[in-house]
Amino acid sequence: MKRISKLLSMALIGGLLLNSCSSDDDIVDPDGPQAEGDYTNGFFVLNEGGIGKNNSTITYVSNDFSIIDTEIFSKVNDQPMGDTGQNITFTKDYAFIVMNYSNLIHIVNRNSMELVHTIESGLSYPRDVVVYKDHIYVTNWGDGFDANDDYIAIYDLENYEATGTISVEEGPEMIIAENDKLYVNLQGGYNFNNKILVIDPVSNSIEKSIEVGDVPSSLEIEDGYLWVMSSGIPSWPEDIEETAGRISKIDLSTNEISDEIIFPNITDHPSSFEIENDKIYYFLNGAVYSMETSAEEVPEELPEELPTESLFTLSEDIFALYGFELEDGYFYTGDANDYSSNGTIRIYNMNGELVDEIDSGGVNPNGFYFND
Amino acid sequence: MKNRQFYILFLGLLCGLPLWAQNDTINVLDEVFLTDIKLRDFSTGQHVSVLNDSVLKKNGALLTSALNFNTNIYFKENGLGMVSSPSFRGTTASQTAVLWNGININSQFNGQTDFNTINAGGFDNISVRGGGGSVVYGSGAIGGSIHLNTQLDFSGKTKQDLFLQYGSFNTLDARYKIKTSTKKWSLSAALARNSSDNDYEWPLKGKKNVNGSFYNNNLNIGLAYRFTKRNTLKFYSEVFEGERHFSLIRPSETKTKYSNVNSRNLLEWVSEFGNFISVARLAYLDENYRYYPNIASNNYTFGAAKTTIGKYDIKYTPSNTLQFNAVLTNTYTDGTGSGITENTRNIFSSALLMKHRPFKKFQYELGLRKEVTNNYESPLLFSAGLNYDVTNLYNFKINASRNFRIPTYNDLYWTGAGNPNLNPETSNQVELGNHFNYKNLNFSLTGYYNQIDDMIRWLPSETGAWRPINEERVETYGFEVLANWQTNILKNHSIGASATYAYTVSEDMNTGYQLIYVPFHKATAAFTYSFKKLSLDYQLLYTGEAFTRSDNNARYNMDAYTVSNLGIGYDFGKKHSYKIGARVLNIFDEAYQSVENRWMPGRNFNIYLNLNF
Repeated sequence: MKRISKLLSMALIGGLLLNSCSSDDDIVDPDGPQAEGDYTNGFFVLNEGGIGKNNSTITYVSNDFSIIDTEIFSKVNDQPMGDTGQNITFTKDYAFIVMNYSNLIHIVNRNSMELVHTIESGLSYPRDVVVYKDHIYVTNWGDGFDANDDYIAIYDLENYEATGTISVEEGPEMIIAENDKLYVNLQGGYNFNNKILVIDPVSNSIEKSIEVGDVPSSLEIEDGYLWVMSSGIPSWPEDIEETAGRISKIDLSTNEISDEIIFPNITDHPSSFEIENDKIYYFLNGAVYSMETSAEEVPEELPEELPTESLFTLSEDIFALYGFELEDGYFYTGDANDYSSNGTIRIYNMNGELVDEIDSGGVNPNGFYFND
Repeated sequence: MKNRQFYILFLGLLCGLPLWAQNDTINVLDEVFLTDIKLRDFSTGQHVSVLNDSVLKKNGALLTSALNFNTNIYFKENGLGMVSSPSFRGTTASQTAVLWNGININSQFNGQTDFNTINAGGFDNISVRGGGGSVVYGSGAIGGSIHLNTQLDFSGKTKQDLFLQYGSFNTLDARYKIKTSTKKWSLSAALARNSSDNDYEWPLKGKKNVNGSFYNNNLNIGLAYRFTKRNTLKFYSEVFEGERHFSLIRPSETKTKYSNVNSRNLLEWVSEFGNFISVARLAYLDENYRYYPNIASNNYTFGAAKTTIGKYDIKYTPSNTLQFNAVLTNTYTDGTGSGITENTRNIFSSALLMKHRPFKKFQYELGLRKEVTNNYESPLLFSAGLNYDVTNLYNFKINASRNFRIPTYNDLYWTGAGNPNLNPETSNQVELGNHFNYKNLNFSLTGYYNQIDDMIRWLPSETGAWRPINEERVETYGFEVLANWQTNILKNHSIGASATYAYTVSEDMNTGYQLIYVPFHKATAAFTYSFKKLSLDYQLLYTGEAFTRSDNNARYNMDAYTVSNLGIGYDFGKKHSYKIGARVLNIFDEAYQSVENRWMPGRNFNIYLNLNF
């Protein structure tokens, strides 16, 4: 990692940077002037920063893109946010900001960014948070190469005291709560895994482990199903065979796989799975694809075929796609550029037309979190 | 030794005196004393600065500190004692070559030397040569080269030097050196230990350096046997063993550590016959590191490389103004590591050098080198230099060269990412030096231009995996000033001053932006004063603002900083030099860092005892 960042640090890619342009195609009309320190009606861009640099930041962008406020956490709280922001999870009033390399979770007021509490102990390279009833659950990789030190940390929501841990297999990534269960994808850390865990949050024990495709990277809950996109094992590891991506549909009432569709080529490694208005969207080989969530005749089943035509190809402006999100008919992309200067946010409509382009206000924008 | 000790201290040779400038003719006898003889013989048109033993005692055992305060080289240091990489004339960390007794010791894995994994106490002197040197020194000698030298003599004398320094943060710097010889035998042994809790306070309220402790031990031995008048066998051996905990920015971060053991061995047979000097060398380098991503666990990642070098060097000196030199080298490396499956590589190189002094005031040299290997296509390297003594006061130097930096093990063999089709980075450069000597004043002004093509850069590929490619082009240019002056005033009073300044532009030719962590300005200065047995010295380091973002967004710049050290010493010895002293480092308590969020220590202290007998 250090070596890479060193090499990167001397690197420059020109022409792409800071060409922030304003657009007349505003997506949402402003409701009126927004109060300062009010971060509702917009979205957060999480800039991961560089590992070991402690320079992760959040940029707030209002829904109409008219207000862009950078480094809002440090401005409001008068302290740096930390190292390698991994994820933000909203609850009704709060945002939980996961700082992977700092081993921290900041709990802030989601509207004002004011810090309520920072969880500083019991974390080891945390990835994601979910709040279920009166507990906070955090997935932790530990050492990303070590298959035996991964766990879920549990904290009391009232006093943030650690109440226990659940040991899991290699590489727990996302965690979501649905139907009084917790679902965790074991993506594999720096290794590769292929499972979804079902955890009972009453006994805090693993109820079931469901095998899916290799490297499950995206989870979505929709229509009583858990949708899992697995990216497959990439081409580069020696001694491990490359595998194709897969979409799996798990029935939440039985926690059984009800249907799966496997990508035709082992070189197909899809990512960034989204479902909106009964349509699946995903990203593959530089293009965005779309398909129906179900077969025409049998609604319980996935369509027979994967789409062969892409919806659109992402503009060649994008140098290093880092964040990708679909929200209300727009695609949000985070371009890390050369990884050592501010990233670029680009927003596309469903036809792939560039709607707006914004300086991300930090290094390596990896996610978009809509605060409304 | 005792009087000279003072004298040398007094000179405060923090920037370079021209090394061996006195040599009007090519002196073959010195061959015995210095193994890296090429540094003397083939630096025409370039400037070599020498940090001698007394200078190396001023800045602690971390080589970064010694070079930072005394040369033009800029260092990017992740906090005191942590990972430290140089930028010499605006180049990258793998474009400075480090030579141990003439053998290139940059890591096989990343092509760099971490300057905090070298203990400055292990050597007799450290020389710094600016500009290209690949014809003689091979890969990485682009921005310049650093030479760690052990010297052997047959003077028949025995000298010992014990240096003990203790200071803030429980920092120990202990060095012992012995040199002893007969007419046939010569031995030099240097033992050094450096350790520190390194838990200094940060200039932020309530924060200090956490998990920054380190130690290292270094043993460096030189042994020579002159079995006939014209045949000498020499053996050099060094073992470095060290462990560093890497400091944290926030206490909640996972604590990590890094340990390394490096050993270097060199056997050399120097034989003279007629007008020929033949030097046969066999070297064996063993490089090992382990990185522990969590000190609470025994898991580690590692790299281990064993390099065997066979070298034959023959010099023909038909007259005392002309010499020819051929060098054949075979380098065989066997390396493995986490993420790197075991790989061997063999590189054969041949070099031809000549030096000619047609007139007393004028000399030039020419050099060519070509490597043969299956690993990459190797460019023909060359160098050409001249020195011209225009007057007694003014000397003019020119040097032009093509140099390279070969792809490393990581670049070539990293699992799934290594790119076997990489070419070496190549540098074409030229420099002009103007040197003035007037009485006790030496002043030099050197301008250079360097274009580096095919720079290797790691970028995400279509599959998402990071891969190195030959992509970047960088040009660096600038100028360097070195000055020093010393004189005796009144009786028993001596004063000396020296200074360096570097103006450095290092530009990505694709974007026009300055490379990050290359400040435009860097300066150092030193003043010394002594009265009888009392001495005072003052050091100053100024590092200008540097970019941390590739788009040169000034909002994120590293601030400029100025750091000063003050030392006082008293020699209470009569027959020998027995010196005690104290130093205040960062006397004005400057809050500074060379890497973002990696603070360096504020004002701190040490005391020392130095016995020469």
